[in-house]
Parts: sequence; structure tokens; C-alpha cells
Amino acid sequence: MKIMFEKRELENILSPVSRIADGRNALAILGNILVEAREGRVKLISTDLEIGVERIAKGTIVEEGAITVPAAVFSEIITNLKDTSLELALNENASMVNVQGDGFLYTLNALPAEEFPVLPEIGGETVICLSSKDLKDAIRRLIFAAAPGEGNNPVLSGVLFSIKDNHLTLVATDGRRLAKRVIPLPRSHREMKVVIPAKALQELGKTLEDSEEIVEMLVEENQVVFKLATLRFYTRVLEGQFPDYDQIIPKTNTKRVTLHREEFAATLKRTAIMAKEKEMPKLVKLVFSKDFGDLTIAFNAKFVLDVLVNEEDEYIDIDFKDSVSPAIVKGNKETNWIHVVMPICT
Amino acid sequence: MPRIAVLDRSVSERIAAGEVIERPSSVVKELVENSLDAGSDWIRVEIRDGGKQAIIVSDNGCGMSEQDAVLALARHATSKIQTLDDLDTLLSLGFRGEAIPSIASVSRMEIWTKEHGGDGGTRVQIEGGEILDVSPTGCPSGTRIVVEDLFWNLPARRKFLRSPLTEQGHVADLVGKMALSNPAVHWLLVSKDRTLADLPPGTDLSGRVAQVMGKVRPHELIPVSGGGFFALSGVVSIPTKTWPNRRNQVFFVNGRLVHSPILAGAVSEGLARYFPQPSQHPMVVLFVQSPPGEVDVNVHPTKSEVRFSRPGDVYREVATALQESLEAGGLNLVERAYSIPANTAFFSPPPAPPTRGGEETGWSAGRGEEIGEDAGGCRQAGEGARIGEETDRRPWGGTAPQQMVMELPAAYAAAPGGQILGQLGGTYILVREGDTLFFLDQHNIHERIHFEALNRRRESRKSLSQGLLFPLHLDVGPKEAAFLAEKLPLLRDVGFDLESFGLNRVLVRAVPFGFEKLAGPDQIRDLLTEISARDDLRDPTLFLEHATATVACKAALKAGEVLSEDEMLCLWDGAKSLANPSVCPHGRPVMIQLRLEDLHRMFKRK
Repeated sequence: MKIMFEKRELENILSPVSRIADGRNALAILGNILVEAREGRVKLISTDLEIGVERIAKGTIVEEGAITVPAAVFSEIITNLKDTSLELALNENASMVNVQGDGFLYTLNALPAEEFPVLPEIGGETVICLSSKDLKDAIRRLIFAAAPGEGNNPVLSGVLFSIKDNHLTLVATDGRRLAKRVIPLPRSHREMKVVIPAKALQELGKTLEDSEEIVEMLVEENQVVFKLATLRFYTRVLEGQFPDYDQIIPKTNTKRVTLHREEFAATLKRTAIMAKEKEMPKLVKLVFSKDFGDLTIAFNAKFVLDVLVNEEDEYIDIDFKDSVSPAIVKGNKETNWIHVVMPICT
Repeated sequence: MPRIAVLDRSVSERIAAGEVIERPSSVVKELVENSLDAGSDWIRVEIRDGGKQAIIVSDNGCGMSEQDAVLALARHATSKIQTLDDLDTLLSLGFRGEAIPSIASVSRMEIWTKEHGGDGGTRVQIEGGEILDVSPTGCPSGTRIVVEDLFWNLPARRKFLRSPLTEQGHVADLVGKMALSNPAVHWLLVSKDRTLADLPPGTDLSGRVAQVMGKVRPHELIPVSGGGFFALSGVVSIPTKTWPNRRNQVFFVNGRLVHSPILAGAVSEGLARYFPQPSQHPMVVLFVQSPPGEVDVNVHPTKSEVRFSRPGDVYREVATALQESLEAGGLNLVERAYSIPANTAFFSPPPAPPTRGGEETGWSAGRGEEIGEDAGGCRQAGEGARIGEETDRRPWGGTAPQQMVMELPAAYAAAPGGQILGQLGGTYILVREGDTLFFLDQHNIHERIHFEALNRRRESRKSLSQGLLFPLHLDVGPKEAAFLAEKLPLLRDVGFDLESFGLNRVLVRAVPFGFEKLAGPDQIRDLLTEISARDDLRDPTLFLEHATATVACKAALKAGEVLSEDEMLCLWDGAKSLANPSVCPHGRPVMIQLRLEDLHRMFKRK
């Protein structure tokens, strides 16, 4: 096996791939990247058995073949090279690879490609087509509402993708707040529900570019793949019953307060500096005395701030009923996004 | 012949004696109380064969004239009260006039007594209550009472006396406790020719408690003071010093050693925040001074029980005083508990002080502290922020002032941040601050921080609870469900909004705000189960402390969790704002410190 790369192009492709590889995994090969040169294409592949990334790299194949190289060392070498071309080739000793170019030669331990886990073949119907930009944006704007870590309600650590009537609905909730986004789909799809781990989506969000390139999502049993021209992103799906979110989205919140989004966010951040209990989340309290009678409603400041910094409208609306029922926070021109936040009883 | 007959005087006296005089220590108690009432400042108690063979109590009190000495043997003869009204204003320990005749009736007794400035002394010999001889004699001022062959005429009772060592233990315990409440008296306890205790006057309370009770060092005791209607003073051990029973809790009311369920209860409540583990009890020595009219000591012949006319007040005042005293301890508690003691093993022993009767660990440690300080060079006043001056000022043992190291490193004020050095074993956080190295247990410190935060919320009646979008249905079991149903309003104070839901189910609508770890249904179920486990806690305050401690514990980081530097910094900041950074609510230490001088000592530089 022998492949020629341009440093800059390799580096761009390498970083999302090497992020997935985890050198601390008990299975040593999972710390490696599979480099595959076949049928005129160079692929870089990594997986942690839950997420898999496959990217097509621009490279010139001198000799076909496949080998795995340690992700961390390999990407560090590439990052630190000056702009140049380089050659990745199997050593005479087949358990080593050479990375060499003008004035440098690195020899790395390699593991045979046969030992690398095989990523699933997901065929079947394309269920969603979205632009890379839209998907990236959607992920950013709801991922924070998912429960951190799997805890013991794993399904909440994922994001629901639900398709019904030409609409894709994305929902994330940790049981205290909820983010929901409705995306109209250009053509009709069959009805479907799948929960994708937030961790995987976060990784996907980092990898996707702000482009109009179409992302296809394919679902098969307990696997999902997102496909682009030079990227395939595999992830398992989460088992379990996603809570019935529709029933808790309030329909009769009649009180509304509209706030300047950035000013409100800045205020919250400033107060947080002075909050005494650093280890504790902060509260934000809205105290009304005239319009709604004497009413105080309090929220976890982080929940509100998460919405504020990720929304885009100049103003945001907070719709509520009383100090204990769920409130809706959303951009005031926004129609597709909704955030539900449960108040804090004081 | 009538069946009912008036008992012979000697018989009735012996029966009466049985109420007051149970064992040698009761004799010692009565005699020593008389000595104290006589204004003695030197009391020597000698026992032989655990007091079975002889008990000799000598004092340098006011003594008695011949006439008084004889009269003292008559039942209900007393110098201490004259009318019934005097009982209300009683300040002396004895008053019933029963002690001397009771003892006399069940032993062979000799009284040697001489009034101060009197011409000569008197010797009275009594056997079984009968005066055998009264004669003038030469003797030192004061009184010396010799009680021999206790219960010689009550063989049944004599048979029930325990081994000499057990009886000696009871006597030693009693003398020690009397010594606590009478620090101005020089106490000596002698068994045969061996001095068991020599407690010179002038020792401060912490020092004397350490001498008498053993088990603690003086700096492990925190002074207690306070009260309102009642004047309270005493000491309580630091929260790391606990025992599985209440034997180390001693109460004095108006100088009288008493058993009091009210006081014991008040201690439990006042300290619940610091010693919430109900099976662990601190050492407490507490003096309650009340106007005589507010206490009834005439409940029992041995006067070991008292009744308060205002039980609620005394309960509240005691609980508050203890709580405030511990709170005032602040970071000192850490110093007291966890700085490496200046142990004599680390350097040459100090020169022997002139009077070192009862050698106690407290002595050597205390003096060692002082020597260590000297060797380290006198600290300049500006060198460190000085806290806990109260302790610094207290003289101890009549020698040089006790030099408890109560200084924080100089850098404390300048660089409040401290420098996080890292995490050890995924469990301990190392922080350097100035010349001091702190080791924090991440679970314990986090638990403590949560605990205090929750308590602050509870006290300000602002229990914050995070509503849940999807109420949780939890199967907790029938017993637990019933228990929780009963405690719903109390649990609201901690931040739970629960609803009973069928036989073994609860519906959780809201959970305490701010604890990310308490997110999943399993964690909440575990938490509720653990809270329900203490169904023996009837007292709402104790129950709340328990519930709070449980929430704090469950929400805290666990050992083994790898922390980022920011997280560690957060914990350190939290640790420094703690009111009581000594133990977690379960009694485990939260931090240990190692100062530069500790290291110098360990490396034998000083």
C-alpha cells in the first residue's frame, strides 16, 4: 500500500475521524484509524463501536491496500507538518507504516486492517433529505436540552427524529426542559420515529459544514447513517419509549413577556458572575407586579441562557400561565422552534 | 398482737440509707458535696479496696464545732436550709440533712473536724448510727470523714457490691465529674497509696475535661457559651470526635451533676447538623446556671434528676448555644481536627513542668505544640491572618499560654484562589495555598457543600424545587410509600413535590433544584428509599436533617470520578465558604491540611 497526500487536505479530513478513535479503549484497534485505498478511492475510517465515521480523502493511490494507524500520533504528525506532500506507505516490516516526505520520515506501529471492525451496510430507503446547513443548525439549537450522559433513562440522552405528514420533528428533553423543532420536508416520507444519541449528533454537528449539500439519512433497525458525498456517519439508535412530549407543551399560556434577546442574555451572564454558590446552578426570577398581578416565576438560569444564546431573533417571548406550570421560550418571530422550560418553585 | 408495728429506729434508718447510699461512690458523692458546701478548695478522696474497706474524704473547708459535729448525725439536721422557702433559693449542693446520718447508719464512721481559727478539733466515732465516743483532738482545719466497712450491718447490700476495681471506677468517674464543675478546687483521688488523679486548680475547662474524660485533647474541644434565661457554658468535641453512646455527655445544673433527658435531647437537636449520624455522639460537658427557683432538684434523694420550670426554654437555649458555638468554629475546626499534631515523638521532650500529677495525653501534646512553636521562631503578628483568638488567649494549666496554631498561611489573604495541584486516586483533590497543602475528599466536601446549601435554603424557607415536565411514577414499596405520604409536607421543605399514588407508588412532580445527579428515576427512587429507611425519626427537625443529608450525599460526586480543574476549583471555592468545613454529614472528614511546619517536623528539621 502506498498513497500520496497533500498535507492540508489530509489534515481537514483527519480531525473528525481521529476524534472518534479512542486510544483508551480496551480494544486497542479502536484507537486506530483504518486507511483504505481501494478502487481508486482513499477512505479514512474510525469507530468507537457506537459511532462510526468514514471519510473519503483526496489522495493518489500508488499501490492499493489497507492498514490501521494510531489515530492520536498520526494526526499529531500531520498537524505539525509544514504544507507539503507526503507519502503513507507500508514498511518492509508489514507491522509498520512509514509517513515520509521532503526531509522527514516517521515510522509508526500499525495493526492489520482485517482486525478493524466492519461498519454496517445500511441500505434501504432514504428517509430524510436535508441540507447540511439546516441539520447542523438544528442540532446546535436543541442538543443542549438532551439529558447529559445516559443516566438510567437512556432515551432522554438522545434526540427524537419523528417524521409524519411531510414534517420532520426533532425533540430533545432532559425532563426539565424541552426543545422542539419542526422542519417541513420537500416530499412525503413514510411515518417513522427514531432516537439518536445526542453525543453522536454533537459529533455530527461538528463534522457537518455550513453548506447546501444534501444530507441523506437512512435508517435500518437499530442503526442510522447520514450520507454526504465524502462522508458517512454511522450511529446506533437508542432503545426505549420517548416521552409523549405533545401533551406537556402548554397550549393555554396567556401571559407573555417579550425581552431583548441579547440584552437579557448579557444580564444573565453578568449576574452569574456574582452568584455566590458557584457550584450551584443559578436562578433567574421574573417578578411581575402589575400586568399579571403579583406573580413570580423562576427558572434555572442555564436553561434560559441556553435558549437565548442559540436563538437568532432580536426578541424572545416567554409565554406562561402561572409560577408552576411549564413556560414556553421562543424567538418572537420563530414559528418552527419551541422551548419548554419547567419553572422552579420557590 | 397488732400486725403493724413502728420500725425500730435503726431499721428505718438503714432502709432510708438504702435510698441514698447505694455504693461507695454514693458515699463519696455525699461527702464531697458537703466538702464543697463547706467552701473547701482542696479535697482529697481516698478509697481502699474500692471503698469497701474504707472511704476517706478530707477537705480544708470551714469545719464544724463539737456541737455541730454531733448534731450532723441527727436525721434532717442541716446547715444549708432552715425553712421550706429556702428550698426555692437553694444554692448549696446538699440540703436534705440525710447524708451523714444515712452513711453513719450503715458503716463505721469517724469524723475529725476543726473549725478555722478554732482552738482544737473534735473526733466523733459512730458505729451503725450510734455515737460511741466524742472527744477533743488535734487535727488540721477542715473535716476528715472516715467511712469504714460500708454496709457491715446490711450484709445483703454488701454482697451486691461489685469488684473493687468496678467500685473504684465509679468513684473515679464521680470525682472526675465533680472536678469538672469545681475547677477552683484542687482534687486528689488516692487508692491505698497510689494517686489516681491529681487535678490542680486553675486548669481551664478544655484542659480539665481532657484530663478527666481522657479520649480527647484540649484543642479538640470547642468552648460553648450562650443562653438567655439560663446561663450556659461548657465544651463540645469537634465533629470528628464522636462515640457510639452518650456516656461522654455530662450535664451540670447549678453545679449539680444531673441526668436530664431534656438536656440530652437538646444536645442531639442542636448538634444534628454537625453530628447527623444518630449513632454517633460528641463529648459534651455543659453547665446550666439557672435561678434556683426555676429548677426543682428535690425529685429524688440522690438529686441526680432535676425538673425545669421552663423545659422548652432550656431546650431551645441549649440547642441554639451548641449550634452557634460550632458555627463560630468555622475553619478552625479543620485546624483543630486535621493539622498534624505536634507530637512529642517528633522532637525532644519538653522539660518536666513542676506539677504534673495526672499525666494526660493532652498535656504532652499541648506542651509539644508550644515547643514546636518556639523552635519555629515566634510568628510575627503580620505574618498570617489570625483567627480564633479566643483560643489563643486562654491560659492553660497555669503554665505558658497554650499556643494553638490558629493562623492561616500568609498567602491566604493575598491569593484567595489557592492553586489546584491535581487529583489523587480519582478521589482526593490537592490544593496548595501559601505554605499549606490541603487534601479534599471530593465526595465528602461536595456533600458538605450541598448540605449547607440545602440547609440555608431551608432556613430561609426557600426550598427550591425543579418541576419535572414528565412526573415520575416510582414504585417504592408499600411501607416506604406510606411513610413518604406521611412526610409529604416535610419533604416539601427539602424540595420534593410528591404525591401519594396508590399502595406502593409515589408520583414525583418536582425534585430539589440544582442537583444534576438526581435526574434519573432510579437515583430518585434510591434517594427516597434511603430517606424512608429512617422511620424511627419522629422529631421533624431530626428527620429533615436526615433527609437533607441524604439528598446532599446522593447528589454529591463519587469517589473515582475524574474531575476537570474547573470542577476542582469550584469545590475548593465551595469548601472555603463552608460554615463547618470539618466533616460531611455522615461524620467523615472533608479535608486535611499539611503545613510547611508539619513537614519540617516530619523531616526533623526542627
